[in-house]
Amino acid sequence: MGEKVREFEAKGLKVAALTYDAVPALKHFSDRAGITYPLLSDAGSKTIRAFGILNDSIPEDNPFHGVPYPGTFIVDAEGRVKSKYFEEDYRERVTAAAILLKEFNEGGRQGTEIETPHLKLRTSASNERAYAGSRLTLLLEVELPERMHVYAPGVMSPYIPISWTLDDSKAWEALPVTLPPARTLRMDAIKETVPVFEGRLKLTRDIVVGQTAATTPALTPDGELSVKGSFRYQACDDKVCYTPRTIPLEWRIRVNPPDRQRVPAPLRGKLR
Amino acid sequence: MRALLLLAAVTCWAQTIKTGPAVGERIPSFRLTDQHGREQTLETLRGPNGLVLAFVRSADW
Repeated sequence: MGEKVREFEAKGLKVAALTYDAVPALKHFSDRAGITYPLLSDAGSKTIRAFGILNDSIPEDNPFHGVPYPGTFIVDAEGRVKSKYFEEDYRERVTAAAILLKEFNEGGRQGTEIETPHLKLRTSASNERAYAGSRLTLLLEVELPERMHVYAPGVMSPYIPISWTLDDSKAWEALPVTLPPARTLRMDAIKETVPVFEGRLKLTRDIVVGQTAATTPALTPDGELSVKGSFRYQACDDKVCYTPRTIPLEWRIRVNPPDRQRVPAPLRGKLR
Repeated sequence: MRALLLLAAVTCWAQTIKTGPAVGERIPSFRLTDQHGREQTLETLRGPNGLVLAFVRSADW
């Protein structure tokens, strides 16, 4: 989140986070992690309840009772909700990057959907967390509206086939893309057949995460590997071909070992 | 990490999450203390175009 604060502020938005931790625990975390934005102490979960997002699947006698369903609101100057981002799966994290994407259409990140005038893209990965040397699969799903198609590799010029590239980096090794079989489209007007994709298609490619010496210099301050790439395509429908587009994409993979550091025992827990 | 696994065991069968005020609705007013001991409200926190308010499970685990 921290590195994105400046980007939000450039859009006239300030940032704050709210937890049920008491102020001393927030201070400890803030100092340790170098947090530059306010962390609000909702000890007792009064505000969490007022918002109606208390996670009520956790029984009262459980130490985690009081946590919210995690999510983010973007509100305007009058406090009206402009948009909100909530995780349906506790394991997922709607990152600040994903919020920036959805709000301001900047690039594409893991687990997000991007909509262009011609198609929808969805990026995801087999793992959110990986270790040095491990191999994981990046997924790129493309959804085309009716009558729209894109071209498969091998199509003849001047048609531009889809291509999914990943940036070169010492921090990972990118393996080739796996594509589904293309459909052969016959274009009667010019008496040609072309290989195309229509409807939904799923592209995968594996990457092998490098060894620690290679990945550490490439990690973000959050301890994530930012695997950047792009998807290029030319979309055509039954009447016209549209200008080819290149869409920047990003997958974020956590490579650091989990942070096991806790706040000191006397500061732990929440006030009730 | 152990804490997260325990939370996982508790919530992994939760079907519906709650997401609070709908788009267009006003959020409830609040007055909370931040990590530096300052009292904060929407007015003190927001920028000219508004506020990004993230509800996080915990800063501790």
